[in-house]
Amino acid sequence: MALSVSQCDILLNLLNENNVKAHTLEAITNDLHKKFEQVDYFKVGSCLVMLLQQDLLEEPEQRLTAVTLLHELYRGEAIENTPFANVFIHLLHPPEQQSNVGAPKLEYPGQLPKLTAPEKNFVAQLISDVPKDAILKKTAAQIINSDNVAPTNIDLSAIQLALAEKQSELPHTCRSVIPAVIPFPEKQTNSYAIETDKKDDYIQKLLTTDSLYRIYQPEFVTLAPPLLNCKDEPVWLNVTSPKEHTIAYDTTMCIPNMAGQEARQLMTKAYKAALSLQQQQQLLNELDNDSKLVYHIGLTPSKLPELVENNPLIAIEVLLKLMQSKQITEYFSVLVNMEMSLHSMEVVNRLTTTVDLPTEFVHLYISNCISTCETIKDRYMQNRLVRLVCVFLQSLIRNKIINVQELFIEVQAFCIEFSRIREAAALFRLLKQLESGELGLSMSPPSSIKGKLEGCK
Amino acid sequence: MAEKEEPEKSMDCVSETEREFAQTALSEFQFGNYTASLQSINKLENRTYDLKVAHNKIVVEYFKTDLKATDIFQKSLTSFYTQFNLRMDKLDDVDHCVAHYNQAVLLYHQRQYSQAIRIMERVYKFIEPMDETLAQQVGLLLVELHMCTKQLVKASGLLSFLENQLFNNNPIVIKQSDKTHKVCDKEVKAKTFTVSNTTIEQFKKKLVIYKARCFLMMHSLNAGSREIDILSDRNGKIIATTFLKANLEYLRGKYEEAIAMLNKLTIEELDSSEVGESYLVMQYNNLGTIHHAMGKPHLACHYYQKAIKADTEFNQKQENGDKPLFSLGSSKYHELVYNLGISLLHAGRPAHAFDCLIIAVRRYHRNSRLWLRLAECCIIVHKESNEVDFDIQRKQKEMFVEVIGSNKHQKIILAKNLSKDKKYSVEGEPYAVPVPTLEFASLCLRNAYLLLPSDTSSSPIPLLLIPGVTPPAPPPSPGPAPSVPLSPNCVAALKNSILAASAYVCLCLGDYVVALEYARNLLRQPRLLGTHRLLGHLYAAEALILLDNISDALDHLNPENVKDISLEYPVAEVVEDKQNIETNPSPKWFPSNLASAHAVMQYNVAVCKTLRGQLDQAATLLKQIWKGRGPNCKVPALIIMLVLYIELQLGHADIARSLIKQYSLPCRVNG
Repeated sequence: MALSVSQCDILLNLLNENNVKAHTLEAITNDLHKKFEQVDYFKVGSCLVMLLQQDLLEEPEQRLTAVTLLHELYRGEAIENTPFANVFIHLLHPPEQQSNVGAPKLEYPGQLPKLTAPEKNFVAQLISDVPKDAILKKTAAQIINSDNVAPTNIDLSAIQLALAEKQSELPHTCRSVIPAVIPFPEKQTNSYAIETDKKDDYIQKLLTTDSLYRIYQPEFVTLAPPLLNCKDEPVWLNVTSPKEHTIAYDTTMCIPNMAGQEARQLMTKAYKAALSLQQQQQLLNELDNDSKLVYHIGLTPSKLPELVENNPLIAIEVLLKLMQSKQITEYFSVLVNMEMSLHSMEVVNRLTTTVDLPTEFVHLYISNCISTCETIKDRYMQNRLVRLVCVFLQSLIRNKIINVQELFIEVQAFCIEFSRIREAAALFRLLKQLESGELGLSMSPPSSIKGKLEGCK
Repeated sequence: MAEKEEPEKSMDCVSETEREFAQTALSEFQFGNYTASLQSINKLENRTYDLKVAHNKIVVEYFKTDLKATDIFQKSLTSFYTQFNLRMDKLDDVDHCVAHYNQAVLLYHQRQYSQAIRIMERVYKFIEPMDETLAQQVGLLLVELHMCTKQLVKASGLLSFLENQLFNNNPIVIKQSDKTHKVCDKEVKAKTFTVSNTTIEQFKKKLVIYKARCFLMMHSLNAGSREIDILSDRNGKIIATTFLKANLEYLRGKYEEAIAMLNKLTIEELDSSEVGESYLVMQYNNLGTIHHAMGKPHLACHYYQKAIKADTEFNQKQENGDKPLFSLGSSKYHELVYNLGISLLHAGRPAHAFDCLIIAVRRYHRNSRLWLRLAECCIIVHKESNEVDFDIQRKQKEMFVEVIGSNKHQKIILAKNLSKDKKYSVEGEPYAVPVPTLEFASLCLRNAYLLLPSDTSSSPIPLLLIPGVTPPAPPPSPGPAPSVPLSPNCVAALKNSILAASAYVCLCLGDYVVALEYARNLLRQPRLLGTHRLLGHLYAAEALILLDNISDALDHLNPENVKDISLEYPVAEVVEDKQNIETNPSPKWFPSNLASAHAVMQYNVAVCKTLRGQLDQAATLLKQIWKGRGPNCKVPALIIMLVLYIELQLGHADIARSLIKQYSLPCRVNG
């Protein structure tokens, strides 16, 4: 980060007392540009500032040369854009050192040496727009000893303004930084002579280590958060007996379920064609006699549509017996999604009057019915289906299976679309009556639905 | 359709001799004569279409190896599935349940619980038509799986179903209006009790143990206590009861009793070479858990380390030859390492804790709290305790790093920063390397936040299903496995801790925009501990300063904002939560009292004023803080440095020098 030791030596040699006295400022500047690469300019500048701040350059010629070099590092660039612009402003306008009479001298961190009038004049010329060739041709001593004390009328306010603006853009945290190197002269003079080479040692130490950039700024106290405090976090181990969960042997091997044999065969038939009344009765009796038989008759959700189409009565009974089964939702979803027909509607209607079906299921079924009616192409079939749906809906409403409010808009739109059909008009009237609160909905036995549905065929 | 019926018919068509063979095979199997059983099954070989014969054949072959040839069994089971055109993700015939169940058992012992649950939920749908013995096994396995995945509500629901449904088959709830439906109570009862009474008794006993475990995990102590009483009445002394009783006492906060119970167990009782799990490991682990709760983390670590040793020995013993199925998953290593990590963290050994928890997180990577714990390890490695910020003696040694030169040119170099919290890394260090750094902590905290258990975990079961195919169950909402689930209060506390830690880590890493977000989010939380409120304001203020918004920062630093610095929710609220259990070590934090906390806030106010250039005001405030210091009010050690700074900025170099002289070691500075 900082200059290497050899680079530091080069710089210190440039500023060597004899060197600065012997050469013009221009010569030294050219030397500097020859000896340092552009990438190192900031480091060189930082060293120069440190030398000035810590009062490590004994002779005024050295100090003036340092200031000149600091400026010439960034020769050609606008002064407000160079990193050390503030140094010059500080040099020209040092802070007040005397607060009031008698008080100790104020001393600020990073304070720069006080310049004499000719020096100030020189610095002002340096950073202003005037041509500098003439003044740089002089040696440092010539400038210091010149008697040009008249205040120059160089206007620096533009530069000062630009710098102040730049400064104000910085956050407070950056503006409050002070250099961490604090002068701390020993009070009692040491009896030994100052060893000059030792001085070079510590200058080198200041310039070539991180101390060069070391700064201090006020710090916040940041408290680390406490550990999460929570209950029952560690795992308590209880006996789990993993041995209990072991591989099972199928005990039903070669033991056909004789009890269900006949029922099974009847069911196989029931998927394909309507059973005779006698067969139906036999099947239902067997199912009634054994509550678990229903699980063993080979019915699966995928077979349900066939059963509904061919033997709706059986389907109803079987579904009622499966109500407690874990699979019932799957049966329901098959029922909702199967093609709409008189039979499926009959099954759903019976179910709604017998057990509590999930509301979403009933709603989904109604929506499916309505959309089937709307999409069907065959005009004759459409009329038939619409009449069926209307009667079905009336039955549901009268039996308070559904809450009309939740489906009101959908059903009403349906009635209006098919208002040419008598049943739809009737349903519409029923809706209107409900809306006006005319109908108490306490009458109408549920049994008559089937007759009505049949009547619509 | 027609093709499918052909084998079905012939499966039901069984000759008399075939039936006899099958019966012999079953009874030989039940007596444990697997060779004889296998011989009988082989005689049924001509029934190639009969999947039950094929199934039982591989089952008996597996039993013949003492359940050790698990790999072979898995292979045969898979080829059995292909042979009979079965699919693992589809189940629509009760006859296929056994095979699916067996697959799930394998997965359970291999600790692949979620996959096992997916299978078992399909099998469970057929629990009614299943034969009773299998139904019981299916029920218990599913309960165990739910408990393994800490889905306790599901587990307890299933337990009550098993209790009611399997024995007192309730008739279907029929609407009152329909009187035509006949309910045949008689037949129902007659059918259900086909299983012998002893089997039922045994099953009931198992149910009681499961219920007790489940209730304790749910922290329903009274219900749990009832089940434990039933258990000890019926069965006398069994080891499971002892552990459950100790668990109950532990949860009640009666640690001494719990320790006494566990210590009473004799070596003979703890011998568990046959059961597939080590009682010794349990004893050590549970003793560790109790000591942790008592606030003795070092002792707890000692017990956990013993448990880990015992666990390794137990599993090595069985390494000779193949392990039987039931001890495949017997190692409790990950749970033990997790426990050990938590205790090490509390014992102030964060680096070791980190090493343990990083092992545990490989298995429990969906545990939000575990990720937070990892981050806490990183934070403590970074900053052991806040006490350093208040240790004036130690800080004053660190104030000056170097003295350069001598005599007239003596220079003192101030420390760049006294507080060591900030660690702005310039090199792009990879965050994902699992080492206890703040970078890794920020990653952990992000995980922790994302994995916070949400309230809307239960997704509704879709109505539209493909028949027979259960859609893949949504992954269970992330929980604190292996620990028991969190109460809403604990989730709130967890969230607050994650936010606080995130804000701190972001500040330390210099990510103050994000830090401000976290701090504000923390302050918005409805249930905030006093400590978290303090931290929220402090972090927000510091982030705002760095964003150069000093006036907003000063609002946050108003001491009125913080009225207490409690680390626990008030008792009244805890009771509301029905969490009457006490198993957490008493929390510790520095600063421990409100006065010190206020001193910190005031100090930070002084920093704000200093930054603004209001040096005189800041100096007055600092004097005030300094005067207020005492045994009950610690003040930040940075205060001296700030005073020094202010004096320097005011140009009072002499005062600054005398301060330096006063607070640095005389031998280091001459003059």
